[in-house]
Amino acid sequence: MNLQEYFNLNRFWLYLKHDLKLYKKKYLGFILSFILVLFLIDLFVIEQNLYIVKVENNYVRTFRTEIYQVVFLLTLLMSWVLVIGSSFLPLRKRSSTINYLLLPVSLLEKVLVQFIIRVVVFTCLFVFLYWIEFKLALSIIYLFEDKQSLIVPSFGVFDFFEKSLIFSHKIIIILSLFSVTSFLFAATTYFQKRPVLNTVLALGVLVLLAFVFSVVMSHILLPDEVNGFEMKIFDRELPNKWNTIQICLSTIGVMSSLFFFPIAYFKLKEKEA
Amino acid sequence: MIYINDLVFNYDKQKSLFNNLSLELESGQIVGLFGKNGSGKSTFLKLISGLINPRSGVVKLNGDNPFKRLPSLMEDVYLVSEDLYIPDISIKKYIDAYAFFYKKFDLEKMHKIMKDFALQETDYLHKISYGQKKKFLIAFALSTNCQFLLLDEPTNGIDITSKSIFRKVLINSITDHQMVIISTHQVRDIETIIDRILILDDGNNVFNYHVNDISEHLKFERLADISNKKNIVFYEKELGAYKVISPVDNSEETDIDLELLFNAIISKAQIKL
Repeated sequence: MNLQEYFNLNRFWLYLKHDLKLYKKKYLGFILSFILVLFLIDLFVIEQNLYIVKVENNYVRTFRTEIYQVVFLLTLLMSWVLVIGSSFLPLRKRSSTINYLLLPVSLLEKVLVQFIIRVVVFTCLFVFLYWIEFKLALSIIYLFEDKQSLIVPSFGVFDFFEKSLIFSHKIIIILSLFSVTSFLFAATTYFQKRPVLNTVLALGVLVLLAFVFSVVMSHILLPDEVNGFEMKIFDRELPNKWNTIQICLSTIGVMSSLFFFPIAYFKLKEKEA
Repeated sequence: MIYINDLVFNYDKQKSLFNNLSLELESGQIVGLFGKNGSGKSTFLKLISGLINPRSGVVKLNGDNPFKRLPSLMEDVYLVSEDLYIPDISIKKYIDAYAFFYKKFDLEKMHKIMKDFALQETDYLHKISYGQKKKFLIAFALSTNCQFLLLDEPTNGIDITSKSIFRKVLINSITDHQMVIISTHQVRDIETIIDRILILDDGNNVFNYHVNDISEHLKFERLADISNKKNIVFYEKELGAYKVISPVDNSEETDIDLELLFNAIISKAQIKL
């Protein structure tokens, strides 16, 4: 087996440049609109979540740093749906699909380029943009507020994790997020038409199925303890701040990328035009 | 070399296009691929280029399965499909973005053919006419120096002058290691340049011969009266005369009337070489 047929660094680099040359305008346009939308979201979220506290006999307005973390995760997931859901752009039209499939680049290189641009580069960019935009939104609010009555908690670029989280939990969250990207890749290669919408629907169906499965299993195994749509899941505390539900969810979260990435790869491999 | 053995193919829920089609095509020739509408000419090109996978049977290009789309093989396959893919960039940028994938790409040749076709590097692909787009893609295809050049209806939408330039350019560009397969309905556009005639009908290769073999065995005449003519293989009546195919006798070889030959094959005339 000639491994050069599957990956060649020079060809990969050329293909990465090719993708950037071809879609430079689209990427720039997206980033600019994204900056604007993210700014408006941050502004809205901060404005809606300011609350009053009493500090040394004065009432001041402030916001919880958890807001920064929750909105970070939500906007990241939503952006991924858009960004990863629209990967493999040429596969949306028959003419460009032909061109894309016949390009003398290996499938692995094609997938890697999408992964690097849409997951690695975009996520890094997102982390910094989100922080800058949040700070900017706060500065704008600060401009229009009485400076004495607003307290802005400090937060750094990488404060998107709850500080109390232990290292292993952080790793699990990162790997689970990685699995989300693998699901989005699988969905975008599976759905030829309206990939973003269909991906969201597929995600909804998956969550619904998991819920229905849990409810059904609860009714079968513990019929006396559940009613209607209730479910009962036993949870045991384990050493090192772990519990059984976390173990179960972490296993699903971490392992599903092993399932979804091959689906995406082989779906593309079998693609016809 | 193209090797096809027992090829079976049909699109989903449609009748079979190819039933145990077998043929071999050597490099160093221009093959005219003809057939009625729906006879599978474009599908044949897609199977050869690896865009679709046969239901059963073998398709091999230089011993490799094209559907694997290995970069080393794809560097030697270029398909100009009827569905033109034209990104919103200038000709110069297109060449910059795509040429480096083809190791044998000849920029000088590209400029020469573009000059013949009156195309400018600064032209924007979205702003030029369909015919110009087609000429550009033909120029690009020829400049890649790919071993297998597959042209699907290349003369559709091209003006009369450009058709003549196309023939001249094609003949001057092709080397002995290359094979060009031209699928077309417009037999007159290419009848002077093809080396081999491949006519597809009823899911099989019903006719696959070199033009020299045809000229050696068949005579194409235009006669006012055929009442005394013996050994007629096929004839067609036209205004004031008959177009006739008959076996070659001792007289001189005649030019092949491709249209008449095509009609003879489609009409199931008993043509034996």
